[in-house]
Amino acid sequence: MANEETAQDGRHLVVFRLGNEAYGIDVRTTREIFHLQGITHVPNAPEYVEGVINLRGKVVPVIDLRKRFGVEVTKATTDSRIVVVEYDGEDVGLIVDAVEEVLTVEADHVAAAPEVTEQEGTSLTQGFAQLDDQLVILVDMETVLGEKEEDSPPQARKAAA
Amino acid sequence: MPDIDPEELKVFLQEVDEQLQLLDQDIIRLEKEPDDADLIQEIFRAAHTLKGSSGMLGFKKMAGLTHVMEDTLDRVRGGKLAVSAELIDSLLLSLDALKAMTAGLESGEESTFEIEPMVASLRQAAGDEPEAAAGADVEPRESIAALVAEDAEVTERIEAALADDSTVRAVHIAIVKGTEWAAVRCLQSLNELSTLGEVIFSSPSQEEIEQEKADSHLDVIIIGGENPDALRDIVSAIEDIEHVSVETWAGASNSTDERKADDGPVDDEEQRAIDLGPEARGKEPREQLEMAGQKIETLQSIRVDIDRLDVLMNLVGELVIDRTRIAQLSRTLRTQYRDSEEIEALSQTCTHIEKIVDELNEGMMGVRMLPIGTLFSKFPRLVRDVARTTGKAVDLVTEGEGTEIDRSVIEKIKDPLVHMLRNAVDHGIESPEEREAAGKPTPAQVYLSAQHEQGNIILTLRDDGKGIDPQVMRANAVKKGILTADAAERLSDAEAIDLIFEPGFSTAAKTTNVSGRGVGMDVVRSGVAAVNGLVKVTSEVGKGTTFTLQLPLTLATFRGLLVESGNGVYAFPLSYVQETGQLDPADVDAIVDAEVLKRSGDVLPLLRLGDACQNGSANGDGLRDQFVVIVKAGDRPVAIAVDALREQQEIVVKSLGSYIGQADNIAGASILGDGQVVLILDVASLVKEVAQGNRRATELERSIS
Repeated sequence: MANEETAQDGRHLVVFRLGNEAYGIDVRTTREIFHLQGITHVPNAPEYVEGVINLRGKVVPVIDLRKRFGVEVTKATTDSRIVVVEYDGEDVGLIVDAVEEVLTVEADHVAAAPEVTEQEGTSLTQGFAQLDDQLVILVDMETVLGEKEEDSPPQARKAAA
Repeated sequence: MPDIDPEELKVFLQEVDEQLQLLDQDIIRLEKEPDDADLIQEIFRAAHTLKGSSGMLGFKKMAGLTHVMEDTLDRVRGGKLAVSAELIDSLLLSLDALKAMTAGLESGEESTFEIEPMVASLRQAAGDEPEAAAGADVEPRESIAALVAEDAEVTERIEAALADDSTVRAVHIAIVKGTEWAAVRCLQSLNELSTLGEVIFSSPSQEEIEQEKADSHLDVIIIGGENPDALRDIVSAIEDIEHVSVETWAGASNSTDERKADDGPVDDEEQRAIDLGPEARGKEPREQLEMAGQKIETLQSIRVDIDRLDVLMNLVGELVIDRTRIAQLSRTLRTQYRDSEEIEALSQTCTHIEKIVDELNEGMMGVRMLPIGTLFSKFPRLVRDVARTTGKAVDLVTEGEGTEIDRSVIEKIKDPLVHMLRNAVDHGIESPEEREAAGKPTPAQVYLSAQHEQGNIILTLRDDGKGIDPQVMRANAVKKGILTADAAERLSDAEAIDLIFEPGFSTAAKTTNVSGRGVGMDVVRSGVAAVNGLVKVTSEVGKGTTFTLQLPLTLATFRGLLVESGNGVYAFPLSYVQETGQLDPADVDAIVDAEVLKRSGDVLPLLRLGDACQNGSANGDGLRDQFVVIVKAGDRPVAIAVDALREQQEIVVKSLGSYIGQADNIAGASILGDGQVVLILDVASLVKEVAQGNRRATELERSIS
């Protein structure tokens, strides 16, 4: 994944906010960002799956990152956005409280995730980036969306088509 | 494995696949029609082709086994050997071995398959002594290069000729086996060939032929045969010649194996053995050539990766959605700007685009369609095998093989159908003794047909076996704890027979290794439901059982009924919808925590779609101003309460994506012309849930009213 290969060099991050924290994802995995609207709720889906949207004729699932990270879910505001990322060849929308900026982070400003969380196997983050006055949490797409997470087994494609 | 060009291997495997498929069907037929000379000839030729092509690529085991098959078949053809069940068994066993070897080649491994058991089995079936079973070292006739290599004089002459820019060709001639005139035909061939060039070598040699040592093959090396077609024609014109192929001697390397791998100047078409079959023999050379041309032409189909088709399919699906959107916009514009010429032109263009997109969509569907015969063709073997192991005598009769259906539907109904066929033979059909006692004909008949009916495919599977006894079904249901004795008694006969689809239900007194695999007919119903299909059963004790499967032509689109519930729009596949209407709260009763709807004399379980889809619908606060959709996916109709009914339209099925995977009650999603996402309801799972929960309530209500 793109995340891994850039660990050494400086990287471009899309920085967004969930609650009071800043999070970053690699700009190259980001497809587009738009206002929160038109989500169709899907019953019986995992709790953090908010529903699906129509992205230019494609049905794209949207997950609520706040629920995924255990951040308090507040009412949607005009700042709320859906960030569409590509993961494993498929588009997935992420609901965030606000998108702040695109930043370049030098490699020596990145620290690995604390070992304690790693060992518990529940870490959803790749590490941290120290930027001027704030700490940006680097999101590990693989653990957020990938098969490592127990309660979100992306099942074999049940596409009826 | 010999060093083979991957492309060449691919072509070879494809050909083998076709021949094996053909043999599979034909050998089964042969058992029923042992006197059909044309059929025997066809089988013989398929085996012969296999022998030739495997030998040519150096697959000795395949060539060895097919050689023995060919030999055996030759004796059948010559009337020296009668078709017996054992012989058919041996031939099928050999086919299986060939399939296993082919599979080995596909995965790139040299086969370690032992062919001796098959060879021994064939020999034994043919009544040969076991010591004759030295089939493993049977060499196909591709040994001419080796013979040439041994003969220094010939080698020299070939090299000299090549250095001289002359053409050297090898002609392989197969003479119809068993003919008394083999030697004569060989000599005739040599004579005719001499008129076109200088024959420098032949195996057997002219002396050997004159001493009557000729057999059914003759290999010739000729210098100066400029036109390969002419060489072929002149030999083909001779009586009793079964098969002629001409190769260009490709040059320097004259050791056995290199020769074939050397693509060099060898013309592909020349390498292809031309086998015109008996109908072509004795015809004018020109006609034969034309037939050969046709034969090659029929091989010209393209294999396309299904994934690539799916990508195209999705793109067309998106076009269909946009088409609807554009059409709507165009209509809106037209009403807004009545007199604009541009808008008029735009709307005409839109109409044209709509037409094109529809045709494109139809064409795309057509590309994915396969005749259902591709699936049916596997069944005669299956039925025969099951019948042999269970000691039944069964004929499978199929009809409507040409009926076309989406390949994804075919893939998904294959397992359910296999299961049903096994069941029909294993449990449905009686033993020959029982049948005789009951005065029924043997062999029993299993009939399988496919036909189009109102945009669906109807598959019918009928057996003339013992039928399903509703009384036995009731007793079993009680014994297995599926129903109480009271409930079982109240079931109609049809409902009792329908119990066969209940999970955990099996009518067989004991399970056998044929159908006792821990799965029952419930798997069939869920498998069929997975493609939005329906399965029904009718049966008459002593007469037989009929299963009817209603399947959609395609899984990519369907006719859907749109409904509103809460904040969502949902689509019901129209194939499940029986009727719709306004819901009268007075018809609803609540019994044991469940709701039922009384409607035209019947009592149906009632489901509130708002509850099932957690969409915040208040379901009309006491079911006022609600509508009802009555669907049938299982044994009984179920009523579903919705907030509003909308129009019917063509629904393009989209996946929810692997991230969500499968959500209960939802089969997928679709996008409407206005861009809204609608969810496609999984009616089978909706109904299953409510049917189980409400069965008791419905029964109670029925017994009261």
